[in-house]
Amino acid sequence: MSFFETYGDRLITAIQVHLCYVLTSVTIGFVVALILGILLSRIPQYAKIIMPILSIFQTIPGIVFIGVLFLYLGMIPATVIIALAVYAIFPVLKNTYTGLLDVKPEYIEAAKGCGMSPLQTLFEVELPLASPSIITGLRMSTIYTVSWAVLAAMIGLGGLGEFIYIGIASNNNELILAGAIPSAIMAIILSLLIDVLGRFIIPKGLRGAK
Amino acid sequence: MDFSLVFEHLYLVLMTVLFSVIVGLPLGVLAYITPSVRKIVLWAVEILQTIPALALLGLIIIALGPGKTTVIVGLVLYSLLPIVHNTYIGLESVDSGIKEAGKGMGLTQFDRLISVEIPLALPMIFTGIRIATVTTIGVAVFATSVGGGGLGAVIYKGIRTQNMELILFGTVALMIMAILFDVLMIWINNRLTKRTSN
Amino acid sequence: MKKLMSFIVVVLLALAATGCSTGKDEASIIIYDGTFSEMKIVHQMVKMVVEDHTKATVDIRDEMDEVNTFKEMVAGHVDILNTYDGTLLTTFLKLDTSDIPEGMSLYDYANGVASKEKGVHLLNKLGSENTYAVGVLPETAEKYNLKTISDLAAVSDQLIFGAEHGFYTEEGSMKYTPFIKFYGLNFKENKPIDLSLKYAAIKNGSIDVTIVYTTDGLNKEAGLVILKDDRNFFPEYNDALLVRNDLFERFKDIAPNLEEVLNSLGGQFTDEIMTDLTYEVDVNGRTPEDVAHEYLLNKGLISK
Repeated sequence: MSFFETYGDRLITAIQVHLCYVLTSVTIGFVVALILGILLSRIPQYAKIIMPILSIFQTIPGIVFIGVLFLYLGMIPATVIIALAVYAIFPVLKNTYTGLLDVKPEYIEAAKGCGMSPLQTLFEVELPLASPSIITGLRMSTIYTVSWAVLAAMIGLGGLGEFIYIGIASNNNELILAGAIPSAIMAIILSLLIDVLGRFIIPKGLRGAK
Repeated sequence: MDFSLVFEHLYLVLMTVLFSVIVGLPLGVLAYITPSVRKIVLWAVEILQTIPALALLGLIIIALGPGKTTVIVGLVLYSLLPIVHNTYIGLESVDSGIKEAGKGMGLTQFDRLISVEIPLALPMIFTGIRIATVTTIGVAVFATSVGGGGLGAVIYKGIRTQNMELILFGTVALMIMAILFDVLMIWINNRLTKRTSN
Repeated sequence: MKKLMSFIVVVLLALAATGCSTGKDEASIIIYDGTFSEMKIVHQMVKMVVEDHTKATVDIRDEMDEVNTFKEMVAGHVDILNTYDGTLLTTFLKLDTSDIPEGMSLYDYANGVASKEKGVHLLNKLGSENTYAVGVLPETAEKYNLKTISDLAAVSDQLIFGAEHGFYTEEGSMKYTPFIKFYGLNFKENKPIDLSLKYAAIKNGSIDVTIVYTTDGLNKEAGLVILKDDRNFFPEYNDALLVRNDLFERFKDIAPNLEEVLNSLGGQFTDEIMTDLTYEVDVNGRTPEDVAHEYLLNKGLISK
C-alpha cells in the first residue's frame, strides 16, 4: 500500500487545518502588533521599559504556553490561535516600533510644515517610511508561526504536527517528512507572497533598500 | 528541585553555540568572498529555518540515534541562520575605504580578512551569536523528546502531572537563563564596539 | 578582546570534554532510562540491588525512547532494560500475537525469538502486568452503563476518543484502526494528543474515552474507570528485565551472582503495588530513587 493511499486524505486535511491556524493567528497578531507598535512609538520614554519586558515573555517556550492554556481553555481551536497569535506579535511589534522611530525627524517636521495633522503624518509619512521594516517583521512572524503551529497536534487539534508527532512516536521518517516538507513549503510560499505584497506597499523610492 | 537539569540545559546550549560558530562563521565568510556560492549558502540556511524544530530533531534521530548528539546537531542547524547571515552582512558592510586601504598596503585577501575585516565585523557577528544563543535556550526544550535531557523534561513532567510548580520552575529557569545571556552578551558586544571604534 | 574570546573558547572546550567523558566507565552496567515513571523506578531498583550485592556499578543514563534503547542494546551499547514481553514481541521484534505457536506462552515465544535473533533475553517476570486498557471517567461509565470495552460499541458514536500519537500509526496491530475494527467501535471524533496532556484532556471533558496503561499512577489520581478487555484484543504485557545474553559472562569476575541478584526482583510486584509506586512519583512528586529505595528496604531486598 503506498503512502499516499494510506495517508493522502489526512494529509490534505492537515495542510488545510495548518494553513487556517497560521493565517488566522498571523492576521490577529499582525493587527495587534501594528496598533501596539504605533502606540509605543508615541511614547518612546515608556516604550524603552515596556519593550524589554514584552521581549522577556517571548522566552517562554511554546509548549509551556500552549500546554498551560490548554489546561484552562481545553481542546478548542481558540487555544492554538491565541497561543500562536501571541508569538506572532513580537517580531512585528519590534519592527514596527524601531521602523517608526527610525523615521528621520526632518520628514515629520516637513509634514507638519505642510499642515498635516498628526494622524495624517502617521499614515502618509511615517508608516510608509517604516513599511520595509514592518514587512520584514511580518515575514519573520509568518515563518515562525508555520513552524510553531506544529504544537496544535500536541493538544489534539491536528494540523501537520500530527504527522510529525506520530512519526516521532513510531520512529517513522516517512511520516515526519510528510509533516515537515509541506510545512517548510508553506513557510517558503507564504514568505514569497509577503515579499510580493511588500512590492505593492513599500513606496517606490525605498524598494531594494533593506 | 533538580538543578542538574539546569546545567544539562546549559551544556546543550553552550555546545550548540560553540559548534554553530565553528560551522557558521566559515560559511558566512565563504558567502562573503565567493559571490558564486553566496546565494546557495544564504538560501540553504534560510530553508533550514522553515523546518519545524521538532521534525528536524525527529529526522536526525533516525540517522544518529537518540541522545545529546542528535539534539546538538539539530540545534546547530537551527541556529546557523543568524550567525551566517550576520557574518556576511557584517563583512559586507565594512567601510570600502578601509578595504581599499588594506589592498593598497599589499595585504593578501586572507590577511585582510583576518586582520582587518573580521575584527571590524565582530560586533555584528557577535549580535548573530547572541540571537542564536537566546533562541537555542528556548528551542532546546524539545531535546527531551529525543533523549537529550535538559529543562524540557521538567516542563513535560509538569504538564503531564498538571503540576504548576514544576512548570513554573522550568519556565522561570529558562527565562532567567535567556535574560542573563542576553544581558551578558550585550555587555560584551558594547565593549567590542568600543574597541573597534577606537 | 582576544583574551576574552580565547577564555570563552577554553571554557566551552572544557565543558565539552567533561560532557563527553561522563559515563564512559567500561566496568559499569549500562542502562538508558525510560520515559515513564515505572521504568525509572525499576531501573533504580536494578542499580540498588546490583550495587548492594555485587561489586559491579550501574550507570543509568539519560531518558531514551525504548525502541531506540532496544536497538542500542542489540548493538551492544546497553545492558539492561525494563520492558514487557508484549512490547518485546510486538514493538521490538515486530511480530504479532497470531505468530505464537499453539500452546506456547507469549513470554516463552518472544523470549526464544529474541535470544536467537537479537542476542537478548528476558529474566523472570516481575509480577505486575502493565497492559493497555481503556479508561473513562466514572460519570461516563455510569451514564452509559459501561463495564467492558464491548459495552462501548452501542454508544461509541456519542463519545470522543483520544490517545497519544503513538497509538495512531497504521503499522502494527496494537493501534487505533485495528482496535476499533476489532470491537466494532465508531467514535464521534478521535483526537491524537500528546501523552503528557491525555489525563488533563479527559478530566476537562475534551475527550471521553482514552487508552491507558494499567499500572499508571495517574489512572488512580484521575479516578478513571478501567473497562475490561473482554475479548482480549490487547496481548499480555508482563513486566520483566531484558538483558544481553553476554551480560553475565562479561561481569562474571566482579559480579558472579548477577543473574541471581537481578532475579531477586522477580515476582516482587503486583499491579496494585506498581500503581502505588508510580502514584508516589507522578502524583506526590517523589523521586524514583526515593520510592525504589523505600520499597526495596521494606522488602528486605537491600541491606541499606
